[in-house]
Parts: sequence; C-alpha cells; structure tokens
Amino acid sequence: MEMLKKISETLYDGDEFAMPGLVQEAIDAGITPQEVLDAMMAGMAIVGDEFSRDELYIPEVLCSCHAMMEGSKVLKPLLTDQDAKSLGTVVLGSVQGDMHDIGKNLVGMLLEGRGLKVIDIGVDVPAEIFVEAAIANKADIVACSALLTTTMPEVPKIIKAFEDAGIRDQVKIMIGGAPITQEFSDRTGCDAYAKDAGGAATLAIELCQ
Amino acid sequence: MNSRERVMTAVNHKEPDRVPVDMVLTIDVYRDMKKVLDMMHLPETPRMGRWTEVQMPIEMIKKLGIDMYYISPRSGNSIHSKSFDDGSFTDEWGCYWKKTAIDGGHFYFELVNPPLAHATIEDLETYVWPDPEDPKRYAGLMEEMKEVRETTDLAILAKFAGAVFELATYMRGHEQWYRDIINNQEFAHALMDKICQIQKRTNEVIMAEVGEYVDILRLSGEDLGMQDRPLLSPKTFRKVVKPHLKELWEHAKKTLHLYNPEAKIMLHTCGSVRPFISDIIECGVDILDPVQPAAKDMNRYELKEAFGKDIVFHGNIDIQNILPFGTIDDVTREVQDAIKALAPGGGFLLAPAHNVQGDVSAEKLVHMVKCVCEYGNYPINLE
Repeated sequence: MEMLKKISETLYDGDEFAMPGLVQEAIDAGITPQEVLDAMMAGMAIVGDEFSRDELYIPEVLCSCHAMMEGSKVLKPLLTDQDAKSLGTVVLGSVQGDMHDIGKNLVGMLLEGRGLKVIDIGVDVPAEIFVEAAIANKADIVACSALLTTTMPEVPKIIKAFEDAGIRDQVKIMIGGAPITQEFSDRTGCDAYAKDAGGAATLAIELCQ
Repeated sequence: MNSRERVMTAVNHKEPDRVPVDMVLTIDVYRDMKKVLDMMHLPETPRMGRWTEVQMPIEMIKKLGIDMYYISPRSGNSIHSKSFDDGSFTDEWGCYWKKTAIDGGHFYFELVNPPLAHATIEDLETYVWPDPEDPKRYAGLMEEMKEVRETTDLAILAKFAGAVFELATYMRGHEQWYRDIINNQEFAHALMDKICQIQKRTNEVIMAEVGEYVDILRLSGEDLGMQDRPLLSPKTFRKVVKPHLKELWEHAKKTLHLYNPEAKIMLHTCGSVRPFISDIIECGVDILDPVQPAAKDMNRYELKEAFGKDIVFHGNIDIQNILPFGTIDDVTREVQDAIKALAPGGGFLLAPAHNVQGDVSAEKLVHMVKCVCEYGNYPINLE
C-alpha cells in the first residue's frame, strides 16, 4: 500500500506538519484507522530501534514523536475501544528533586508510539505519588527518570514506598537517566533499566507480555 | 613557576613544572570544604551563581593549592528580572529558574516555563531583550580582578562570554527547540542571530572594562553532548548551529585580544562531543572543557592522540561516578590516568569535569589536588 508506506516514511522523517493531512487522506481513501495506526507504529518502531543503535539523535526522534502525536489526533475519534486496547499501562515520572523532563517525555512518546498507555505524572514526583498513581491507574509498569547523581538516591525510596504499600510484586519498576547504570538498577532492586528511550520502549513491551 | 605561569605555559602546549589544577565548588561542597580545611571564619554563603556555584575566597584557593581564580559577570537587570520568596528567580532574559530541593538538604536551580515557548519570528522583534550596555553587569569586576592580579599569582578565568545555542534552548524550552532546529529552521536562525548580536556587544562592553585582566575567557556553556551520543547530528550542527557559534567565538577572541593578546578562549561543552571537536578547533577555540570522561567516545588517550596538538583539555576528572561514589584510591587512580593520558607535552589543566555538586566530599577534592602535586610533576613519569 503506497499510502501507508508514505505515512510510515513521513513518521520516520518526523514531518509533524505533513502528518495530519496524510492520515486524513488515507482515511478518505477507505483505509481503516487501525491500518493507519499500524503504519505509524511501524515507523515508530524503526525510530526507536535506530535510536537504540545510536543511529538517530534526539531532535529527529522528537520530530517523529510529534508527527506520531499529530497523526494520532486525527485517528483518535475514529478508533473503536477495541482498536484502542493497549498492551499495558505505564506510570511515568521524574523523581523528586529532578525537574528534567525531556528524557521522560521522549520515553513516554516512544511507549505510546509502541502501543502502551502512558500516565505521565510529571517532574519532581515524590515516591508516594508514584505509588498512588500506580494504584489509581492499575499500572503494569512504573518508570522513573533520574538525571542527576544527586537525585539517584530517590530510586531506593520509591522501591521502599511500593514495598510499604504492599504492592511491590504487582508492578514492574523501570529506571533510566544519564547517571543510572545496570549495576545501580540491580543494587536498588529495580526490575529493569534501559540506557535510552528506544531501549525503554522495547523493554516495557517485553515486561508487559 | 607561579600559578599563572604554570597555567599559561600549559595552555601554550608546553610543559610547566606541574599540571595546573582548579575546581569550581557549589554551595554545599564549599561549606564542607570550609570544615575540611579548618576555615570556618570564611563567609557561610559567598556570591553564588545560577548553578549554585560560589566565588571561592582567595584564602581558600591558596590553602587548597589550586591555580585559577574564576570570575563571573554580575547579573544584568531587565524588566524580566525578579526574585521570588522561595529563592527562585527570573533572569534578565526572562528565564525562570526554580529553586529545587534535592536529596540531602541540597538545592539547585532548574529551568521551567521557557519565555519564548510559543513565540513566532515576529515575536522576537517585540520581545524585550537584555541591554548589552547595562553597567550592572560589570559593576565591581574591575576592582575585584585588579586585586586578584596585584595580590596573587593566580591565573584569572573569566566566565563572561554568553551562550547562543544553549540560551536559545532555555528561552524556547528543550523539546520545542530541538524540534525547531529540524522543522523550523528559519525561526531557529532568527533566534540564534538575535541572541548572538546581544552577546557580541556584551562581550565588547565587558572586555573594554576588564579585558586586560583576563587570562582565559570561558565561552559559556554550549552543551552539545549527551551521555551516550551528541545532542544533535553533526550534519544539523554544521548546517544550523555552527555558523552562529563561529560568529560569536571568533568575535569574542578578537575582542579579547584587543586587550590581552596572550589570552586564550575556552569552550564549555558537556557530554559526548567528539564529532564536533574539529569544528570547535576550526572556530578558534583554544581550550576544551570539561572533556567528560564517562561520556561515549570521550576516551582520554584517543582524544589526546587525535586533537592534543590543536586544543588544550580542561577538566576530565570523572564527576558522575568516581568523585561522588568512588573511594579515595579510585580518585588517585583517576588522577594518575588523566595525567598519564593528557599531560605529556603540556596542554592539560586538571579539574573535576563539572562544578562539584553536594554529593562529593571535600576530602576527595583535597586528595585530588594532593595527587596532582604528587603525580603531576614534569617530566611525567607514570606507568
């Protein structure tokens, strides 16, 4: 399908301005919303994989994410509840003391682009709010971003908050951020660590399956 | 050799008596340093910058045994400038810096609500920009620098030359700005040009006042790297960003040399920046800071081999792992390795690879300086 191929490519190219028109064109031509969504998600999967392989840079990935968002705006009213069924729910936030949001936002957009439901609870989030949001949204995954060596100590506090609430075994806890390592993730008792947003998306899908 | 001679020899790619060393402390480490050096009579809160870095008193610099005096311009004043009760503030560009508590009772200023997030090209013409002529920006600088020059033998590093790319990021917001440089390049060029012209004039005004006292002019942060890759592709950098940086940096160097022809310019750019180093050299930058060792493709031996003849390295002591979380022995090994890799032939100024944050003990920093004095003497003899 030439039209779907073009949608996939436009998403990869990050042309957020062309996207809504192309999606509308495809719908008008009788292509189902689900097929269009699948084409966009296929483009997004390539973006995520190439980012993980260090072949893409943040600005390009952000443009692809926004192209995805623009295309999705057109599709959303057309998708049935059945179509919109997500692979899982992720509660996502930057830890307390950390005001950085670009890495978190990127993870959020890539997760959504791969078919997960994302509840973004913002930056500077205290441990107990992660717990509350996870309970309220029946989260499968809690994803925490810490960009500073000085905010990394929040991670064990979050783990403890989930233990204290008695729901540690009901959610998977993922962490990421520049100073975070696999060793830190293991040591603090997290379930998963990804070195970048593309890796986080792949990992989250695995955890939900 | 005194400190200034040591620094200037190293930045001219010659071997001094030993590797020069310096550091910038944020407020919490400064307070710890006062205790460790038994200098409790020093002020509790010296002048503090946007990154919570403090002006280290000369007395502490001498006792610690470092070679450089850092000085920042004063804040200018504009209709945007405002202080808030919680310690947050809006700067002269209209950027709001929120005082944010972090673990262990520390704090930092973080940028939120960028002022030009929704601006169009037309809005750039009506926005109220800082006034480069504002005398508040250099009030008292001349007296301070003259005193340092006359009463000490420290090299003076002036953090005067403002940023373009990074300031555009602050004003536009990270996410929007990174999209602009791909999908909205006309706006990106207009914003960077606007900022560049203000920074050029600001440099002219400040250099006319105090240029004669500047040994190293530090071009403000233009962070181009992330932990695991450059922030933007080399292609986008060269096409969209570099022309503006080149214009500012060449102008800054030319202006500086009117008042001190021997002075050097230093660029601060964090993260994985290797693909840009040849561009940075081409733009006339003499010294690269902070040569972040834990970032990808920043192997110190490879960098020295590839670029050591053309650029001086400043920084390079790991502040993401070794200084905050390592042992004293880890610090020793890190200093030895950095000296072994970067010091031969001169061209290396050793320092922590960032302003030191509150999670590093002053004890480790004192040890770092001690190691430089022990292992950094020329000729370098480290196996």
